[in-house]
Amino acid sequence: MNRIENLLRDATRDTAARVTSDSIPPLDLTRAHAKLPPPRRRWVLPVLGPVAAIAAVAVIVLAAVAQHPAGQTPALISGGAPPYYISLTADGPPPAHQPFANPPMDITVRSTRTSTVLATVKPPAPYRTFTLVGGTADDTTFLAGAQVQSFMSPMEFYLLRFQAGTRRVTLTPLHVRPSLTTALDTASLSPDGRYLALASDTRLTIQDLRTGTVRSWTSHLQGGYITLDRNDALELSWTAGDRGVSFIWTDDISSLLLLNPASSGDLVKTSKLLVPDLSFTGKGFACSSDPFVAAGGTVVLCGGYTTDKGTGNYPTGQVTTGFGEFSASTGKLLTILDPKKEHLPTTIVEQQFPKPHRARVVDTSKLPYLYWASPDGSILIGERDGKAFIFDDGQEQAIGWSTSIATPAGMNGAAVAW
Amino acid sequence: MSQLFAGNAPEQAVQAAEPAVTALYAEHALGLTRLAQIMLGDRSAAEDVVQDSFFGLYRRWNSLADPAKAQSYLRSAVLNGCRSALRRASRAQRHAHHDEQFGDSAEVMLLASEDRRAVMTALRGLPHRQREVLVLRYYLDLSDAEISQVMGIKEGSVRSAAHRGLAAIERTLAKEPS
Repeated sequence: MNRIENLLRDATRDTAARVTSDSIPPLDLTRAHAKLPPPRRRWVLPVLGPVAAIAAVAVIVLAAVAQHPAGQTPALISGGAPPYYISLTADGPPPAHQPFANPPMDITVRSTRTSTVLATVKPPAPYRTFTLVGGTADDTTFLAGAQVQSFMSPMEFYLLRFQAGTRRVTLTPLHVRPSLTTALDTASLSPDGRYLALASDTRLTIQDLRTGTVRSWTSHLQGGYITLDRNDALELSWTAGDRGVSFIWTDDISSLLLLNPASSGDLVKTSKLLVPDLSFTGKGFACSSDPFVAAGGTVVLCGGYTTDKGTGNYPTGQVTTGFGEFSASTGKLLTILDPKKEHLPTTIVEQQFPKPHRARVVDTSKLPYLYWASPDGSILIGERDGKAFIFDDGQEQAIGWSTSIATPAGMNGAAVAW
Repeated sequence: MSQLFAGNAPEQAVQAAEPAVTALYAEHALGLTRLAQIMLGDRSAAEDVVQDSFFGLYRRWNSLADPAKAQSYLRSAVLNGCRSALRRASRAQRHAHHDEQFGDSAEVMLLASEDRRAVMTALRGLPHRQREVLVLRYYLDLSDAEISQVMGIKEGSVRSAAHRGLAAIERTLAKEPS
């Protein structure tokens, strides 16, 4: 073991020793009581064994009505906002032989406006857990990945279709079983449903579902990797007309790149650099959420606030919060959607890097975050001041669900999808 | 195909978990808070992450097939909570104004050696993945295979992240004024 390793071992233990037992606060379970979900009924569905045996075309899974009987589906969101989303939901503890692994996951179909569970789906045998969810161009069709266990076991992809009137969920296997040498981070279906893009660490793969052709790109530049944020819903984004897939690459900084599926070579070198630095420092508007590519790859959207023009410093006094729309080609701010003038609270914190100092930071919990954007960028789902909302047709409409998008332990991608 | 739709545990049953979870907290809160403190460098955030992990265990207690696995669940939950907290912190970092210098923090002052202070500073400046790999490897003494399972990345990526992290720390220390 070399000097650095010894120092690390000593320094971490030294730091740990500073936390003493008499300084640990008591456990306040009253906070946990406040977060308890309401009790739900258990449902047992009819045995469908014979159907499963001939499930080459489609696996039909009846959905459970959790809190509202069929026929009382919550009203749809007005305008073009997607009425439903799907979410990975833990079902039990991790496998006994893999205590670090995720617990088995079901998929719940939920109302966007209320978060009400409309259906719960278990993975079809032999799979035991869903580990991936994604949206598609259709409001009632989603992408789902199932595995025997999380991590690197074989994965099967399904199209998950939800019929609102009957609460029926149909799972159709896509017969895509990627060879996983590392955990799969996310997958995204092209708007026309023909191509499936998969991201995993430093590798991006696109499979043509019509021909079965698979193409892969990878990069080992500067120790970077494809970045998928477990707190935001940002995944791979297809541009209009399936011309490319955008992704975030992180090495020292995070950049937004666009891969042309017709290209070949190193993933990073061959991709078009849409936004060199996603912090947007000094451009008059700072992003507080990761960006979405919209309008056919011509604009980038993100939640954030105006900065002191030309300096990129934290805002002083009144600022405008909202959703910045940037030109993907120039990086320039085009407009701020849903703008609001307000004072952002700041606090002084102690930071250790690059050397101990005090920093004044914006209270980011108040800032707008973007979870979903329509392909043309006109409809947004996000969070502002701790409250979820839909922005559509120039109007912000509050929606009633927790804005904390919880991702199960060990998951790499987002646990929700519209 | 038989489908059983499992509901959440009834509230009364979950409440019955209170003595067990409280006992686990008494036994493991210190170690978990130390882990979170190393990862985050922020005592308040570390305590929040640990408390949230116990809340999660409490709410899920009735569905735990083997309560003996609770410790593993808690460690995994704390690491996941730290990742989320680091993500939020990096957002805040984007929006920070850095020109207010001040003296060493209480924790830094207490560290026995200048080298160790510098190492912790460099560790917390690493990308999240490298930082987590190094803490799991050198503080928790997990093997690369165990780290690979905890983080959901292949063993080669663990080794790569560790190598890059160590090299980055070495570079940072080399730049430190003597």
